[in-house]
Amino acid sequence: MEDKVTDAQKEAPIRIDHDNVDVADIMDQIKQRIAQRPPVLAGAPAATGEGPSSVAPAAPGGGEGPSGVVPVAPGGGEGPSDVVPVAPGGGEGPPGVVPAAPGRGEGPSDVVPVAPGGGEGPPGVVPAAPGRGEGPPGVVPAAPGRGEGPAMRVLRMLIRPFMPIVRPLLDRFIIRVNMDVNVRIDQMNDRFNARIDEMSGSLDLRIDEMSRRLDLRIDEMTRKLDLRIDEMTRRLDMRIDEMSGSLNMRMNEMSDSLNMRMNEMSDSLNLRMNEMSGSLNLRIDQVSDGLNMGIDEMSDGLNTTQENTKLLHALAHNLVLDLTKLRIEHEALKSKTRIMEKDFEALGKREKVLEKRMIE
Amino acid sequence: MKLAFVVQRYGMEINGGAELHCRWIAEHMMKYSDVEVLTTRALDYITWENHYPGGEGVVNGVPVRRFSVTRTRCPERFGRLQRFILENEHRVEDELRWVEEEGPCVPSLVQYIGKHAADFDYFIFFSYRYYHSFFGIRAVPEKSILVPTAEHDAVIHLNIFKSLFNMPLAFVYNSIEERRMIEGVSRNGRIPGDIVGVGTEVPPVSSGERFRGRHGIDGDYILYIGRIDENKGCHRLFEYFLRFKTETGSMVKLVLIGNAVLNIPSHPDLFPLGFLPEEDKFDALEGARLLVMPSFYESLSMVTLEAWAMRKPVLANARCEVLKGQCLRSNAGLFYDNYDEFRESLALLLGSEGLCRAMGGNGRKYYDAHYTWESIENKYLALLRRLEGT
Repeated sequence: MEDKVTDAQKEAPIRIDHDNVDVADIMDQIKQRIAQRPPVLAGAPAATGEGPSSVAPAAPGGGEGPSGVVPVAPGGGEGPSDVVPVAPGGGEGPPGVVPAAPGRGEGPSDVVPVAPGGGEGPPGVVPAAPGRGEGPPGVVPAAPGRGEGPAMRVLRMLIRPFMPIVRPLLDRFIIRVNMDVNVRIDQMNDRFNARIDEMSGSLDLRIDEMSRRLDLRIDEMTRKLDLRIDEMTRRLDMRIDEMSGSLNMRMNEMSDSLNMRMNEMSDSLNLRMNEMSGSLNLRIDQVSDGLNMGIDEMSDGLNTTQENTKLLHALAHNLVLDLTKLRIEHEALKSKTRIMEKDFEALGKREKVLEKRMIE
Repeated sequence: MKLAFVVQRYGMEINGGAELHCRWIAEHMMKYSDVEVLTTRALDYITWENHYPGGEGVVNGVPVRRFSVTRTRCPERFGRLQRFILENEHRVEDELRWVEEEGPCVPSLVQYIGKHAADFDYFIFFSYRYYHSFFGIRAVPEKSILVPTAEHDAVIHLNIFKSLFNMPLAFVYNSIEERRMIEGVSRNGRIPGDIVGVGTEVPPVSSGERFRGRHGIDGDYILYIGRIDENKGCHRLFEYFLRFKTETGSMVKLVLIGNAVLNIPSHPDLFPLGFLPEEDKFDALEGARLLVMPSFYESLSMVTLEAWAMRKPVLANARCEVLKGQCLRSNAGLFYDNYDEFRESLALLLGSEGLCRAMGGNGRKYYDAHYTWESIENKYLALLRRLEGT
């Protein structure tokens, strides 16, 4: 275990002074080392198997169709084919890039024969019909490569009424010719296949040789690239250090100037605040004096009003007392008057009685 | 001088966090003053169900007065309310309801503090976020000292705590980071306080070989001590550790001591041993290459201090500001923020015996300077003297 970890440490050895351990420094070095690691590519599988599986290798067969790229079948042909295996293995893979047909040329499939006149090349395995004329009976003749002239058309029209007679003769003749042709085709086919096998063998050898050379070349280029990357990394580090140094200097300068400016501003602000404070205090004193005077005046006025109110109150009180007395006297006088009225009436009656007695 | 220690739970069975912290401080302060612990009858920190008998008692020589919890906590309801107030605009009433739901709901304890304020010189409250501190400090702000044991938790930003942090007479913080966080939240820098933490006692003799023999562990191992919980970052530790082993082919093992509330992956190099007695714990520390602390939130981490006391380096989670700060200040531990850093740091520590020795030595020095009981007691006494002077 430790060995592997030690290998990892070889990336950039962490400097530790055991007599004076500085955790902050160690952590900085650890962070630096992690930062210097090349980023893990998104498609690369993670070491623990937890990485994303966006690109999976294509399975050549079997159940699970891979996503992404399906391998191209050997042969390198570009021609379309009616036997192209889409998603080999019948799996779930999306129809991305389908493998090409194993044919070599650009010709059509190895099933449908095409007249060589109009085709673009021989098919991979089965040779095309050699003739340029009509195909055998039952087989739809392929169109001639260069088209049918007017003389041919006239000839066809002329022959057509005699076709019931001509047809058996033609058939017999054509079948015989066709058999010869078939024998010839088989021979050519054998030769052709032998040649293809031979070429395929030499091609494989050639491909292996090229592959070896390519690998060597790639290794060489990788080494050069690594060296170049190291060199660039070193230069970049140096440049970063330089920039960092100049940036720090610049930041220090800016910080100093900023501090100076802030100190100046602070001083002027303090000065201004002191001035404002002085004038504000003066104004407050003035307002306070004026306010005090006003309050004194108002206080005097208030005192006079208070005395007057007291006098008025006493007066009102006395008036109420006198009025009450007068009311009582008035009531007493009214009672006396009523008594005197009654006395007067009694006296009148007495007078009348006395007068009567005197007259009698 | 008479001190009251006010804490949410108290007992010999409670072996972690603020409660153990309080118990140790109370036991050590008995040498210098009269001490009484005011606490609840609860044992279970999830439901706060009454467990201990109420009234007066004695725990390990310390007088304890227990008050009944009037309402148990419903974790689901509390979780819903907490989510609501953390994710939505809400009123102060909602936050007060959160305090009541958080519990432990002990109005009789608060009433007792109010009525008997004159009987004590200082009330030392542990854990800011619980009912007893929230209402207890309000009952005697002029005599209260708060040991917040605050973690980097979202609830610390609730409005109700801003005012709470401005009430006590003084603070006893566990770390610089905790002080910075609380001052940042509440602007309470004017309130006196000190960074104290808690001490630990290391047994005179401990043996890694004894531990290996008892539990059948061969070869190098790294050690985790604490509750095996997702909140403690254990799931991430398992993931990183197993990935480290796959990538490096390392033979190192991970020994886990503590109760598990998380499914531990089945792996031949993972040794979950459950809760072990103190002697076993120190034996395990003695035999370990290092202590790993994957927790995201810690107010102090006593096991980290114990590891340093045992001259063992620590590999901590850098997302926990306190642990990272402690590692940097002590130069006795590395920390990681992601898998790459975990891998590099662990590989470095496992690959260098000298570094482990040097860091372990630094850890011990740091422990001797700040976390011996003598030092802790002196800091408490100095703070109390300072408060007496004012």
